[in-house]
Amino acid sequence: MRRFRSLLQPQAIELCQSLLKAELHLMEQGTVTGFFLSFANNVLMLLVFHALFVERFLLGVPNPSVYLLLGIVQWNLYVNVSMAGFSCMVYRQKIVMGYAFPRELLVLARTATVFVPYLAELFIILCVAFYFQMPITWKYLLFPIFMVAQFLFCAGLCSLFAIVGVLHKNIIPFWNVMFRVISFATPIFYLPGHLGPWANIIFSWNPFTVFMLWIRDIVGANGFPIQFTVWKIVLGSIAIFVFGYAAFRAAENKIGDSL
Amino acid sequence: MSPHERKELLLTRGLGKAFSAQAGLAHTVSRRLLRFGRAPVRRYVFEKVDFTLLPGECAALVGGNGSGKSTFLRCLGGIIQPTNGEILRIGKLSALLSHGFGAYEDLPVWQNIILSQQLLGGTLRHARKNLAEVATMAELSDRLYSPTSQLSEGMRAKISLSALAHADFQVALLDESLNHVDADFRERFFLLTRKWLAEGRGLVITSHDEHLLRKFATRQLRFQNHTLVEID
Repeated sequence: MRRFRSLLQPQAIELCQSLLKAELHLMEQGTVTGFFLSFANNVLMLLVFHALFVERFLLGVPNPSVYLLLGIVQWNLYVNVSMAGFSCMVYRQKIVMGYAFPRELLVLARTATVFVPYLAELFIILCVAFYFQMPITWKYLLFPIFMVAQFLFCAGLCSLFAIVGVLHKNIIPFWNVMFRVISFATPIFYLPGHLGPWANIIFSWNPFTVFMLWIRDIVGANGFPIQFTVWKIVLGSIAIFVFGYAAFRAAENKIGDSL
Repeated sequence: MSPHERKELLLTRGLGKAFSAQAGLAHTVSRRLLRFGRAPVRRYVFEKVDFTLLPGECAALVGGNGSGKSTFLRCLGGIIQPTNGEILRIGKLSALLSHGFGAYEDLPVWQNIILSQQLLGGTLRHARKNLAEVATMAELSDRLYSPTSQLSEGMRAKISLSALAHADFQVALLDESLNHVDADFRERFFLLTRKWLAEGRGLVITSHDEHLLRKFATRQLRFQNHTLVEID
């Protein structure tokens, strides 16, 4: 607990900010063109998904482009979080092995690095939603809670992946297979209702689905069809963050040996 | 005696560090299953090391490659955990191990200098304030906006040591940091270390250059048969 409190000291926050700045600078070479090129990847996926799945799975959805874009951007966030987690200690080996500092700051900085372009992408999608005159409802008030919950969830995952990336590298191929399976159990390009009521059990236990449906609900693009409440998601995110952080701290002592 | 009443800056008791003898394979799932819960085979780099660093001391560790100097320093710096024994760190520690400078190769030098100072425990304000002084000391004021990847090993070492010179610490750990720097910088750094030692700070350094160590050190120790022995 004392260590966790030390992360809230101004010095630690400043270090985290500097690490974030450095990571951001390197990502997409820190340029606007780089960001748009990576967003173009989402648009390309949208075009393919649109052509393949709208007629088949999204009939009757008022704004299938927004629905699909939200799914793609959300899923890419999780892909990027897992990649950032697996590589964060290995890629920054020089500072991990060169200086004595709280290494979880590096994990938090990497999570935040993935979040910055994600926020920019969400902003673009919201502009698209407004362009299509999708209604602005009171649910937008939940947006900050959604972001905090999702950041905690991603930081928890990133902490776990950081340990795996160093200490249990052999698990990474298994995770990649699992991740592919989970991607099909997440309604990225289809409506959750299509799979029947039994699928709701899977969806409600799949955190990736939970956040995807929630953001779609906020934007008004066919989200939230399953019964769960905001406080449950927030508590679940905090639990995943605490678990990830505790696991990272417990395994941190072995990181130096394995790098 | 409470830690605050002690006069030692660093103290180790019965320190030992072992690594798995089957590096790489030891962590695989199949290996773990095949071991049936038995402990993996381990090889001790050093064991039962009792070491004390007093204020005003510069301890030099000598020994061949793989003798355990860097591993010992990493344990002292908290970078890796010892297998057995305990470490009592009383003074504020600044570790400078394995040339950590320039982790972000594509960033300009000035940004890495700021980051390096922050990683040594400084505040952002302090790091920004000292930026010009660090660059001047490292004789790299004209390279501040160049990509860090263009710097040689020697230049990196000079920046690392200059950043350390502007950090607030009581104990510094230097792992072969002085090997790559030129004679002129080494001389200036030597004068600085004398000042630090007079102030009651402590240093632990390693190098293969015995002439250099004789100059800097107030005492020398050698890793022999997996333990640390004092050289007269």
